Amino acid sequence: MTVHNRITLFRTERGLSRKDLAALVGVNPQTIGFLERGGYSPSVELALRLARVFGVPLDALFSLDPFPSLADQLGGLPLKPQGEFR
Amino acid sequence: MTQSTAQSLKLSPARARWLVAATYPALVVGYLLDLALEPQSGGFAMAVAALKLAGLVGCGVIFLTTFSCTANAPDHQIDERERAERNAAYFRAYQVVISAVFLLFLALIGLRLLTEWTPTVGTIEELLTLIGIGGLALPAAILAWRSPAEEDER
Repeated sequence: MTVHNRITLFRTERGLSRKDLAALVGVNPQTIGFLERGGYSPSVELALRLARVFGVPLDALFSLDPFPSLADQLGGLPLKPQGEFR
Repeated sequence: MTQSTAQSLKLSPARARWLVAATYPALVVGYLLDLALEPQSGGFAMAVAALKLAGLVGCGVIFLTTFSCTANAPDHQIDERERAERNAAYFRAYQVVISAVFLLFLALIGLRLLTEWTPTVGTIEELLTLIGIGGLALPAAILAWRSPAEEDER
């Protein structure tokens, strides 16, 4: 079963390179690449270490179902009122 | 990265795959042609000897690469993905070597029954050398073959 993740999103948002993130969680930088491409499903320990580095709950980072795209999520939000146009 | 990894030969995945793709066919074809046809002299004998030598040298080079370091690294020197890949490569290599020995065993029995041919000690030594040398470098070759095309380290 494929484990989907948002590692790329969180990593780039925090301005981390793969090497930086790999050093923070104690793995080879190639392993971060494998995780991001979905080529490897991490152990519970590594998943928890990644979630701790990003400061997010585990289910924000990993899911058994594909994550909806950011555009879909933003598109589903109600539009903010833009103020009255006179 | 361990010291042994730093001192070993670093090949790109593409080059490593080419090496594996050239080495194993050369090794197997060279040894089998030598055993089957027993060329004594001339160009064909030289070609068979060159194939065998290329296969042996190729296995030696594979054994000196970083893939071999990963394949033979102790648990604490590699991460969990590398451990999983190393274990899978060893398992596959074990299957291949055991299958080769079993097929060799069956082939020898079959040949003895059908043709009353009995292999010499030299023949058995050649076949065991083929399986031994090929099997020694096989986990590293499997790791090299399965490595992704190019891994950028952004």
